[in-house]
Amino acid sequence: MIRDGLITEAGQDKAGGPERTRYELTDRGRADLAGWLGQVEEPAPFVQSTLFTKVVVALLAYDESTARRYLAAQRSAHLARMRALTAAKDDSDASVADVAAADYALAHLDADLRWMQTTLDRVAALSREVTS
Amino acid sequence: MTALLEAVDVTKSYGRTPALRGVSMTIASGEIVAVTGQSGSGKSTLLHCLAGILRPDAGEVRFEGRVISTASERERSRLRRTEFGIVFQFGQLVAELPAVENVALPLLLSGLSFEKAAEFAMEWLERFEVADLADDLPGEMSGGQLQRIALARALVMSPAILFADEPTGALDSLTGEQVMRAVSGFARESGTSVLLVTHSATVAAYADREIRLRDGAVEPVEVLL
Repeated sequence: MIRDGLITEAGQDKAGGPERTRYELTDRGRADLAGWLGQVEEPAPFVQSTLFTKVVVALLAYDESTARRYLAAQRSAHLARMRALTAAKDDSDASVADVAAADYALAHLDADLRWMQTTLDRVAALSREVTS
Repeated sequence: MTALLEAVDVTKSYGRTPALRGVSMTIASGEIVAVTGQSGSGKSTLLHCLAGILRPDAGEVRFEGRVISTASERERSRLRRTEFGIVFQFGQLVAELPAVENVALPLLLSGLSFEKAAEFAMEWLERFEVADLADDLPGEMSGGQLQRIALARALVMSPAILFADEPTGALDSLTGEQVMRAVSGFARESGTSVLLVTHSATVAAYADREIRLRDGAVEPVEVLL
């Protein structure tokens, strides 16, 4: 970012720990950041995740029941992670930022879980398609 | 952990439509268990059988080792009033009674004086941070407030187990979170068991473990290759 002229060195900090270099945004960096913040991320049109790849590979290399077992096991793992995040939110030391970060992860895991459940219901049809 | 509540090979049909096909499960004392599954998987029927609202066609439900599925309606009614607390998706409060009297109702049915019952009810309303609504009628309250009052009513008899059927199903996510935190916080503090029926993974994540139903049967825990 220094090389690109987006930030510049603004001094040294030493507050009870090792010395740290402080940086600040240049005008160009501020404009660049504003441009990045002003753009929404492109919503992904297809589920191209590892999860989807594993389901298809399971169907191609094995069979429907292997794909179902994978999805069910992945579902359990996702729910276990959601339990841990939910418990972390209830921690009395959790800041609002911690809770919001956990909410973000929980919402994405929940979306994955709903996709897994729907895919479990579609495994037979998906198998026919990918193996035809 | 020993089982507080146990279903052994429970079967239930509505006419010729099977709802539960030989369900076996346990809930230990102090444990929060989520029963999940798609619509029509049998989760609400299982809750109704476990809570003594429905009688199974076959199999047994045991509470503290005693078979309750064949007990008389009078005995099951006593259990529902004293040992089981029940909350549904929509609070099902008595529309004509103010919040404090809704919460006091189970105590009044157990023979407590109105004064004493109202005093206990106020303590529970305070615990769920809705004491300021004590004199309001259910029709004047939001969904989150109704569920907190329904929870206070379900817990006022200090039941051994709370049954909650989609307790946040009608609430927005933040209000639902507040209700779930109130439920799980109280359960962990008091050692009350909770059987939570939900189709939401976010709600199921408040539980210690999940029992997943599919077509009226418990889905086995899957083992990979």
